[in-house]
Formats: sequence, C-alpha cells, structure tokens
Amino acid sequence: MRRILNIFKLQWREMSAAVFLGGASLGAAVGLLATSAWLISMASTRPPVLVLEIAIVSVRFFGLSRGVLKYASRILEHNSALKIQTALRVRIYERFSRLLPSDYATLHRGNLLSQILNDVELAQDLWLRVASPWLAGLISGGAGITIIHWLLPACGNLIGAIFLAATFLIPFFAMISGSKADARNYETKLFDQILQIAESAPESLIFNYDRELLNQVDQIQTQIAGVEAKNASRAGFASAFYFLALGASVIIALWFGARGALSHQLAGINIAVVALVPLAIFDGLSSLPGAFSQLRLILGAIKNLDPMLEKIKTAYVEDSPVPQSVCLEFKKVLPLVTDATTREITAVVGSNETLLITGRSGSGKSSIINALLGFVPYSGNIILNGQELNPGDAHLFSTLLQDDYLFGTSIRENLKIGNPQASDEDLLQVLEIVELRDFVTGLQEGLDTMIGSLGFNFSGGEKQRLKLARVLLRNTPIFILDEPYEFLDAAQVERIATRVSQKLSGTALIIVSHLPLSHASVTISL
Amino acid sequence: MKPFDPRLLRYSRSSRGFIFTIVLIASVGAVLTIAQAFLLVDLICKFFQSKRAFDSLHFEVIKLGIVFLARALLAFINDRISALASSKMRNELRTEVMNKTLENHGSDSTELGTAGLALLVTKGINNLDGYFAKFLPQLFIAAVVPVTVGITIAYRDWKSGGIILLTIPLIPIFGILIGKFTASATEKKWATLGLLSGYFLDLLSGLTTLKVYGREKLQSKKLEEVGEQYRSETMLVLRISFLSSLALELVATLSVALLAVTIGLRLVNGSMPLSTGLFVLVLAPEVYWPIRQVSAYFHAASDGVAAFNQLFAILEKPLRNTSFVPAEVTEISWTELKVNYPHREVITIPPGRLRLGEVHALIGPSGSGKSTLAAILLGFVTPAEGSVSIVGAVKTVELSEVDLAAWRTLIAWQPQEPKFPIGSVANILRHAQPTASDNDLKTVLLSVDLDQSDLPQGLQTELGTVRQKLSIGQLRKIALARALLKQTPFIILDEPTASVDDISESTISRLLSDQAKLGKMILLISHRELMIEASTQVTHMDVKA
Repeated sequence: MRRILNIFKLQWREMSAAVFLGGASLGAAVGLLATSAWLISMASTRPPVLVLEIAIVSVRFFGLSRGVLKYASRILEHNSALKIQTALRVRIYERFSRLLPSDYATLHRGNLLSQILNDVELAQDLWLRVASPWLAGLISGGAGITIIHWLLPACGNLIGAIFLAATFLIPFFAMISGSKADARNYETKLFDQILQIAESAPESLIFNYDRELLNQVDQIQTQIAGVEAKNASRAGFASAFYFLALGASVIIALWFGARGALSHQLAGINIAVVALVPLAIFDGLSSLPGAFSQLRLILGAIKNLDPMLEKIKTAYVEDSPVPQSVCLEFKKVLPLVTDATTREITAVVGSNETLLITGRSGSGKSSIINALLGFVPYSGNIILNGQELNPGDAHLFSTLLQDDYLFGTSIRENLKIGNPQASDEDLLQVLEIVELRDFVTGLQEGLDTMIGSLGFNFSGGEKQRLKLARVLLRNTPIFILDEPYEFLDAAQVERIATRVSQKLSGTALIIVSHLPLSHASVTISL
Repeated sequence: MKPFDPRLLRYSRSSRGFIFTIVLIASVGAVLTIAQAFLLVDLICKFFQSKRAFDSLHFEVIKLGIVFLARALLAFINDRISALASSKMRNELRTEVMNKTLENHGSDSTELGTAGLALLVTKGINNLDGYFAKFLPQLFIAAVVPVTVGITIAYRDWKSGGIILLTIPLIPIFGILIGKFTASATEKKWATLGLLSGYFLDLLSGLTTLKVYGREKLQSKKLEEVGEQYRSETMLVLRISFLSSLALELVATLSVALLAVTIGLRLVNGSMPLSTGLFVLVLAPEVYWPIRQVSAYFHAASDGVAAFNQLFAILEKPLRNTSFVPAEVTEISWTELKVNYPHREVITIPPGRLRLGEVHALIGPSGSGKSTLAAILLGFVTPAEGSVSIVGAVKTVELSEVDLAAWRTLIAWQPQEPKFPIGSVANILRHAQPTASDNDLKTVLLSVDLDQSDLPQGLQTELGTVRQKLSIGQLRKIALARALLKQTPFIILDEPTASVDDISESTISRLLSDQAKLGKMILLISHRELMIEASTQVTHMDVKA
C-alpha cells in the first residue's frame, strides 16, 4: 500500500483541488435546497418582495455553481487519475525491465500481463470512485450540518453523528458483507481460458475437445456468478442502510424543528430548512454504496501491484571499449538451469569466424545462448579477449532469439529497434538481404505498414525474415543467431545465409541451428 | 451506438424479465418518492403554519418512517436485482460469443487478434456492467418516473405542471443534439485510445527482445510519452462528455429556477398555499434527475458500449448451413483457388489433387499460400474463387456442401505452430484417440523419434503451462504423434520437421512413406529436401508478383 500511496501523492495538488471543488459542488446543492426552502417559506408569509431578493440571488448562484464546480472537479479528478495510471505503468515497466528475462518469463503467458493491466486500472478507482467522492461527501455534509447546527445545535449534533456513522458504516458494510473470494483470480482464469480457445480453436475442432474448452468457460463463469451474487447483496445492504440513515435524520430534524418552533428557539420559516437539508447532505453519499462494494476488489489489485512498484537499483555498468577484433572462448561452459537439458561446451570463435552449434531438439542449444547473454548462471568460463565476460560487454553482442518479439507498430519502428539511427535506405538494404525489399515496398503503406493483430497478416516465414533483418541493422563485433532460417525453403536459406555471412563478415558469428550450414568455420554438435 | 439495442434481447434471454422487473421497481419507486414528498411537506406545513406539536402528529410521522423503510427495502431489491441481472446477462453474452467463435473455428480471433478476443470477452464484457446494472435500469426509470411525478405535480397544481411539461422535452432534445455533435468526435478517439492502451501490454510482452537489443531503458521514456498522449486524448473525450452533462444540468437547474420564481411570486400574491409550493419544489428536481442521470450513466457505460459493435460483429456472423455427411474419401482435388486476406495481395493456389496412398508435397517460398491450402481443406478458410471436390467411392461432393464437423472426423492435422491446451502429454494425445493405452502413446511417440523418457515427467509432462520447457522440435513431434493417433484417411502435416534434427527427420520421412503405403493420403508442407524426396508428387507454389 505504501508504494502506491507514494505515487498517488505526486498528484496531491490536483487531487486536493478536485476534492475541494467536488465538496463545493455538493455544498452548493445543500445551499440550493436550504435557500430555496427558506425562500418558499418566507414567501408564504407574504413579505415585501425586496426581502426575498437576496435569497433569489443565492438560489441562482448555488444552482449555477453546482454544475460548474462539478465539471471542474471531474476534470481534475480524471486528469490526476490518468497521470497516476501512467506513473504506475512506467514504474512497473521499469521494474521488469531491470530484472533478468528468466525472472519475468512468467509474464509471457496472458495470465500475469492481463492481471497487471486490470490491476492498474482498478488501482486508480481507489481515488476516482472511492476516495474522491467520499471526501467530497464529507465536506458538503460538514457544510450542511453546520447550517443545521447554527439553527438548532442539538439537532445538528445528532444528525452530524448519524451522518458520520453513515459515512463510515456504509463503506464498512459494503466491505465486510459479500464474498471473500477474490473475483480477480477467476477473471484471470477466464482470460487464460478464452485466450486458449482463441488460439487453439482450429486444433480443438480437429481433435474434438472444443466442447471441453467451452465447458471449462462455463465452470469459471459459474464461479464468477457466485462471487457477483454475494457482491450484489453487499451493494444492496449498503444502499438500504443509506435510506435508513436518511429517514432517521429527516424525522429527527422534524422532531427538533417542531419543538424549536413551539419554544421559539427556531423561526417557523426555518423548519423547512432543517427538515430538507438532510436530503441534500445524504445525496452526497449516494454513490458510496456502489463504489465501496468494489473496494475489496480494488484493495486486492493494490496488494498485487504494490510489490511491483518497488524500485530496483541496478549498479551502473560502464560499457567496455569496443575492441578491433574479438576472440570469444567457451571453457567447459555448463548453463545452470534445472528445468531444461544442458550440455557442457568448449569452443573458440574469433572475428571473421562462424561457430555453428547444432544438436537435436531439446539438447540445450538455447541454454548456451541464455548463459552467454547473462540470463542464466553457468559454470566454467566464457572469456572475451582474455577476460571473463562481464555485464559491461553486453553492448558488444547482437542477438536474434528464437522467440523474438515483433511489436504492434509499423515495420519501420520494429526495424529501428535494431538501430534507431538507421535511415530508410539502411532499412531497405537489410530487407534486400532477407528478400523482403520488393515485398515491403510493394505494400500500400510500405515501411509504415502495421504489424500484428491490428495490421498486416504476415506469414511465419515473413515474420522470421523481418526479425532477421532487424538484427542485421546492428553494428557489433559479435552476432548470435538462434535458428535464423526457420520456415524458409532450402534454396532461400542458401541465398539468404550467403548474404548474411557477407553482411556480417568481420564479426564473430555464432549460429544455433538444427541444420548444417556451409559457411561455418567451427561446428560443435550437442 | 443506440442507447438501447434490441439485438440485446435476442442474445441475452434474461434481459427481458429484467427489464420488466426494473419497470415495476421504478414505478413503485416513483410512488414512494411522491409519498415521501407529500408526507414531508405536509408535516413541515403543519409544524410551521398550524404550529402543531410533534406529539400530535405521531401517525403522520410513522407513515413517513414507513415510506423511508420501504425505500430502503426497494433500494436493496433494486441494487441486488440489477447486479444479479447484469452478472447473468454478461455471462450469457460471453457464452454466446464463445460458442459462435468456436463454431466459426476461431476465425474471429484472427480479426481481433487472440489477445484482443480474450480482452473483449473478459474485460470488454465486464465493462458492460455499468451498462447493464446502471444505465439500462436508469433508462427505464427515466421513462417511468418523470411522467408519474410530472402528472402528480400537474394534478396538484396545473400551472407548475404546465411549465414542467414545456421544459421536460428540452432535456432529451438537448441531450440528443449534444450527443449527435459529440458522437463522431468521441468515436474517432476511442479507436486511438485502444491503440495507446495496448502499448503497455506490447512493451511487457516484448521485454526480452528489448533487453537483448539494449533498448529497454529508452522505452520507459516512450511509455511515459505515450501515457501523456493517452491522457490528453482521453481528457479531450471526457471534456466533451462532462461539458454535455453540465449543459444538461444547467437546463434542469434553469427549469427548476423558472418554476421556483413563479411559485415564489404566487406565494407572495397569496394565490398558492405553501404546502403546494413546497410540494412542487421538492418534487420538481425528481422530474429532471432521472433523465440527467441517464446521460451521466451513459458516459460511465461508454467504455462498455464500445465493445457492443465488436460483440455483435461476432454474434451476427452467418453460420454455414450444410448437412451432407461424407462417410469416406478416396481422392481430393481442387481447381485454382484464390484467397483474399485483408491488406495483402490475393493468394493464388495452383490446381492439384491427392489420392489414397500418395504423399503430396507443397513447396515454395513463405507467403505463397501453402498453409492457406491446408486451412481451406480443413474448412477454416473459404476460397474467394475455385472449389474443392471430395471424391468418395459412391459420391463426389464439393467441400462447400459438406457438414464440416463430419468432414473433420476424416482429417488429422499437424499445425505449423501447435497450440496445446493445458494438460499432460497423455491427455493431449488422447484427444485424438480416447481409448489409447499408455503403451500405445509411447509407441506412437517413438515412431516420431521422441522417447517419452526424454520428457521431464514422461507422459505426464504438462504442456500449455507457464513454464513449458519443451523445445519447439519436441512440441512439433508431439503434434505429429497426435495427428497419427487419430488414424484418419487424410493427414495434413505443416512443417513436421522444422527445428527437428537430421536423424529424427529421416525417421519421420520413412514414417510418411509407410503411412502412405498403408493407404493414407498425406498433404505435406515442408522446406526440407529429405521430406520432399519421400513424396509421390510435388507442387511448386510461388508468390505472384
């Protein structure tokens, strides 16, 4: 909770202004009802119209300011909420970006990502739907109770007590009743299930488990419905409590008003004011039952997010100087991973050489790369130009991963991740190498064509070649390509591989492949 | 988007009963509101003008208390029923959408993206809660309450009733005008907003890639910029929507003010009793309130409503209505086929045929339509031009005329990128052959050169989970084994030996020849020489320039 509040705190100016304006708007509603009740009561005693003039002006003032203040308050409220949302996203992203891929591997299934996305949106509701309306209601309630207290102190005290009880008990009621189960877990389960159906629908139809998948959706839905049914009563109880508190306040006001008028403690024209103001002050609380029924959900989200907001300090790593030529030595390197196969390797690769690592599927080729990139620990030594490999050397490597990601943006933006300074001519040149130049220039929007679900429907081979082109834009002494020629036919592999080795001549090139390649200077087989 | 879409009644059966109940609750609520105003004003006037003591009016006070109790009870019932109905309607919609998605073999998912569909069905439908639980009830409350209250006021004082009657239509008219003006601006914005909010998800998904490229730090700045852009765009939309509720509120306030001034003047004249004046004044806001609330809730529900169009697009997809059940297949032939994918050039597939005992290899560069031909034969893609004939011993039919579920029982398929459901290897294989014993499973895995002892937990190894540690080659072999287990006359293999080593590949190519000799027909997509050598015929496919 602490970390998230620290992020909220950054917006405290806008937030307090929003609460103040919101309270003032609800206060204007109280003023509107009080002055118009007085006006009507006064008018019925048939005074000279001049006496009513001030009241008429106040009624207009309160009437107009109520709407305007509410508008201003809502704008500030939402603006700060959006800023909080961005801040949360940035902080979460920064944290994950500082961890090692093995630590966030779990992110890569819909599960966690969708949960984070949801939780960030829920977290801002703590402010938008709960804190802000609650505080504004308190302010305007305070104003209304002050009016009653001024007219009839004892009555003000009693209604004040009921009002305070309601402001604190409605949330309490909303929170304690209802389901203890966290609906968020079911929602995440549902998301995964839908994702699975969407992905494997064709396979499920061929292998007859489509009904099974749908039944699982129904089961999760039944669980969600159960949680929601309990929450439904929760919101209902809170609303009922609200009307009971309102009723009690109105009757108390009538009792005090009648007695006050008889004992001349209260002017008769003010009976209506005392009796009607409670209607307005409780109006400020009317959104609370609904909001607070969400509170448990919101707190669950915050509890989940809070650890992700921890700031991780990473030691500043200075980039090592770029050497003229490199010599990379693997001495009995064994990646230390528990859940995949690994083999020890010993090999040397230098500038202008190609090391090919082949082996059967599951033989641990990718683990070697993960060790080289520092993503997993290893035993043995990896020596670069006579020194043990260290984090400062990371910028000397360019890597094509097997599960490299294409972002949901344009071809140009995706390629430029390889080299942000690359010109369009550079981009077209690497596209030429992977035989995509004519294809891309032939597209209606060329390099601006969007990739991903919202854009162009690329085939597996086309995507693979785009990723390859992206890594070729880099300019580093060492290149690692993991299964670069997947999904390509033999003739194409031959042509592209030749051009790639020309492009990367002078570098130390490590290729992991299940295929033998003719350009390798050293081959090790796992 | 219309405030109320009648299509909703069709797809959500419980919505009809719900709407009836809501109208009933709204009517009772209106009566209680009127009773509360009447009793409260009556008491105020008796204390103020008749100077009656509180104790002499016990009965009236009790009546007022009962009205508040009844309102509390009604609020409980209303909130509960609305929330339950919303929950039920959302579940119904979800079930309908998923049924339809599967009936359309998930092809909807390719238009929205798989994550897009999952988001639509979970978050998208959940966002409809505001629509179902708040907006929809309020729409009917707004239809019932103002009329009831308005008539009551007119009955008590026809002049005030007349003013209300004149000003009431201003609100919906004003609302519609503002709505028309803002709708296009808002709609355009929602599309960009969707893109922007996806950015965060995209970054987290591609974090490993960013890290490998050393670009992860730059992106945090970009994320902040995109968030800032998202904020300013959202605020534009919100400003419009808040301004329109402000405008509606001002209209309502002015109407009440107009009423209050006339009442005040008539009271000063003595041409109206206080009880009537107060009664009208207390009730008048209740006429405008429900209508304004509709517009407020419409804003709250607009997140959800954006999903409606996408949902109905899925729900209203026509279903194939074919009933011919093919019992057997001895030959498949196709004419030249053309397929249009959005944003790409037409894919043209040359004519060809496949008979029992044959292995037909499709080769050619990526993007030439090899997997597309497989998808056509599986019934997942309908060609824009050309046709596929299924030849049986008795009858020849067009693929477009057969019942797809029946046709698919004759096909086994190994997809290029298998997506296994969560479950053990044994469970996944048994989808193809429920009665297979563990030994059968081990045998078929061995036949594709996968020794079950190489898997971390043998046949019980879980697939489709977060920490799936099998290599891509191993997954392909499992998919191939599953296809073989189904024992169908027609087998489609899409890159069975990509990411598979030479030894396995030669095992698998021998296996294919054996299967063909057993009298199966195999459509093979491959880039690998060895596999192509095992084929009886080869079709070269090319990208048409």
